[in-house]
Amino acid sequence: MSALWLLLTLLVVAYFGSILAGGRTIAGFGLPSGVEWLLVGFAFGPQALGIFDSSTIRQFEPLAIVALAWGAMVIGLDYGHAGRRRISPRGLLLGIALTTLCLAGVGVAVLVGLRFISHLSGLDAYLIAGTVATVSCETTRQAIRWVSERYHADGPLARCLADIADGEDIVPVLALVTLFAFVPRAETLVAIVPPGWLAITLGVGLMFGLLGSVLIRRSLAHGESWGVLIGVALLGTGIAAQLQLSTVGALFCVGLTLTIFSRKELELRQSLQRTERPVLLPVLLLAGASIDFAHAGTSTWLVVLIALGARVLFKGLAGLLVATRVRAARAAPFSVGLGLMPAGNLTLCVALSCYMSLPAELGQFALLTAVVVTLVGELVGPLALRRALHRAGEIAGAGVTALVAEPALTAAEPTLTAAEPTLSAKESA
Amino acid sequence: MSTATGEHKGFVLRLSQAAALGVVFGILLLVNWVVPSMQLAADTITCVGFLLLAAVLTSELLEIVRLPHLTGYLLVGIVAGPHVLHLVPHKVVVQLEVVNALTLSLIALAGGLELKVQMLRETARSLTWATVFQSSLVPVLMAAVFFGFAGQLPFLGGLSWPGLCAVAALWGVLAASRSPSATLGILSQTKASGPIAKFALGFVMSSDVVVILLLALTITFARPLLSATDGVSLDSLLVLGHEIVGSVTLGTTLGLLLALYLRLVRGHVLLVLLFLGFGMTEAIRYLRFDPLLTFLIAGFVVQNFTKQGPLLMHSVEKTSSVVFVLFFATAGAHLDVPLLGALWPVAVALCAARALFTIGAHWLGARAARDTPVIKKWGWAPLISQAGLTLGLSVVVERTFPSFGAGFRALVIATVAINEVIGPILFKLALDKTGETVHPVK
Repeated sequence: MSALWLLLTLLVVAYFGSILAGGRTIAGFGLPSGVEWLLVGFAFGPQALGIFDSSTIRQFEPLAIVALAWGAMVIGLDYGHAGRRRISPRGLLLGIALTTLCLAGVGVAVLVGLRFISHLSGLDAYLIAGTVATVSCETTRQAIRWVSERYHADGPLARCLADIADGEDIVPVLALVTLFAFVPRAETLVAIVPPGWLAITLGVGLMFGLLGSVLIRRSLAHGESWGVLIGVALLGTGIAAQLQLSTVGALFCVGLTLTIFSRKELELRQSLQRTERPVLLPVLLLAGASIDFAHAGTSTWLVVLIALGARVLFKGLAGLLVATRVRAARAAPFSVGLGLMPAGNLTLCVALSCYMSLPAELGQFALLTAVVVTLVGELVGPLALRRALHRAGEIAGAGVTALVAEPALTAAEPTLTAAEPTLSAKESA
Repeated sequence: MSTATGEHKGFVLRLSQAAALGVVFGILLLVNWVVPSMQLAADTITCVGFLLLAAVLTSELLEIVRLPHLTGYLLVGIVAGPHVLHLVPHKVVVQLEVVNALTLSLIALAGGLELKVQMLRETARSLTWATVFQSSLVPVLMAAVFFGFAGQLPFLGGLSWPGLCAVAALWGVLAASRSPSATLGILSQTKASGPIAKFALGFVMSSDVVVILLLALTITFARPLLSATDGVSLDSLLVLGHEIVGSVTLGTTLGLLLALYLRLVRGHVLLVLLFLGFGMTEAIRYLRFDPLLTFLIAGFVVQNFTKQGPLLMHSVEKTSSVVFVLFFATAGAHLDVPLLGALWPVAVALCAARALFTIGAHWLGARAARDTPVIKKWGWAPLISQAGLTLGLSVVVERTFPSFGAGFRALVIATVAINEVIGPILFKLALDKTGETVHPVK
């Protein structure tokens, strides 16, 4: 397939993505993570049907880098928010703590596993464990929102889970930034130690975020505001890529800085959220086409299985910990834990970023783990979450009254979704 | 300090924009110093981001001296390009040429959307006389001037008298071409409305078609003068007829389909425009039709025969506001400064002659059409710019006549470089002087 045909295919996928962003995802059309596009890409790729060939896919590498970074910026812009409401510091901390627990748990499990199944040691083993753990710790907010809106769930548990899923995004991003900082890099004119690269990544994000905050003073209805926003995002991405830093990490910081300092924060969030799916779905298709399962050995699959097992264990543990904070979760704590299993956009962004920018072996670990974790999460998560919310009496028409009426971690608004009209409604308005 | 849109922009904002521009240049210089060898993918992303950001900031700062945004975009491209600071390397400039297809489709669509039947009726007499004089006097007089400079142009060495006449005729036709992109870029920035804006739109868009026809005819008759083996073949006229009829038919169909889409779906127009810009342009080229004419007709059909014109116009304007920045900044980076340095005496003389003849032809046309004093005084100003269309036509000449084509194109690039910078400034000045930017005339 020629580059033009591939481009047109990607535009068609983006078109579907923009329709999905119009609100039909919430009505139950398409998977929350969008992982099905990864599988479609795999089916079309050189490993399966061969409709896309490797050289053509490689031509779109800059596009994929930009799309991933843009997705990360959108996630960063939305960080700490559930719809229009800001999530509370308690919810934020709980999300960060539970995800850090999962990250550390999976990392240690993989590190121990590697001692038995391979001869790797030292920095190599740490990097593999770190990569696998980074793509195994997220709980996607889309899945929580998907279940909550589909089944009209509302209550302390639904809000707590939404807060956790929204608050924890920073953990995999920081882990990714750290990972990139420690990966050996090509020579630069200035020798800098890994913590220095970590600081530079965050600094690049902060600087371009501040630049955007200062320069975007007018509404995005004006062309120059979009020019500045796209310019800031691309320049930040390009510079991070040139310095072999994490583009996803840097742009997440840009988004976070914009959301903190920009006067147009709300408009930016609302406008950019609409771009997330149209931008990411074509990348998932491209990434799917690049997946090479054939070269994954037994040891690779064993590592992935260890990571998956550890994730189930530590998400289950997270469910128990949530039950200590939210009484409604005590009816089915393990279901709550399994309800935290779905991974989504961020995991796939992180994995694809590793796949494109880190050494081949690390990239393959990241992508395989992300695919498996996301697929299992899609199979298990929504069902478990529905069960947990049902048992907690938070699903409308469940016939079970809430166990205890308790204040939520964030009691800012009555329903999870009422404050934010669906994007399609906004668009048609 | 206020803009054409009436918005107040204070000293602090200007200071922060200037500081941001310095920071952006500083960062790129620093990164290029720290990481001298770069990957093309990362390089391309950085350069696109830099050009967008720096061009927007520069254009904002140039508002202080009332220069058009377009000049700012070009300036950044020239300064950062491969011939001055080397911040944007040549390989990236070549890669960014893919934007051209999208930009030209947007320009043509917007041009068609701006051509309202009512407006054309109002300005029909002016446009007819202007077209008659501009398309006859300017090519003939410029051909004569070019002929006069033939001795100083090494790429014409060895050509016979008839051959020199043929090349001069080709030059004359190219001199009559204008810049739809510059016209729309200025009008889009200033939101100007009034007699000059109407005249500029109507004339520049319709004269494109005339110039394309003239070039095809000139090539047909130039061939036997430049090559002893070639004769006058009417086949090329047949091909031209096929191209025009096909483009009009396809453009009409496309316009109706676009209107239907906008009526039934309305949303996601940006992606549809991208699809048209990249995919449809290729399809049109495959069919050997003219993309510019096809999209122009499509826009005209949507505007004049359906109710979807304003919606499509809004979407095209939104998309082009970012695409134009990149297009003109890349065009600036493309300018071959050393070449301009080598050819500048001839290039400046040719540009001056072209400007003079354009003004003269306009004066005659305006008198014949009994135009208003405003049109008489300032109507020539939008006709000076030259950009992408002229360069595109020079590529056609280069391909058709490879023996002298490269040198001919180099001279075209040099003159376009001058007209591209000066033209938009003159057009903006005219709009400012006639009050069409500050107090739009209904």
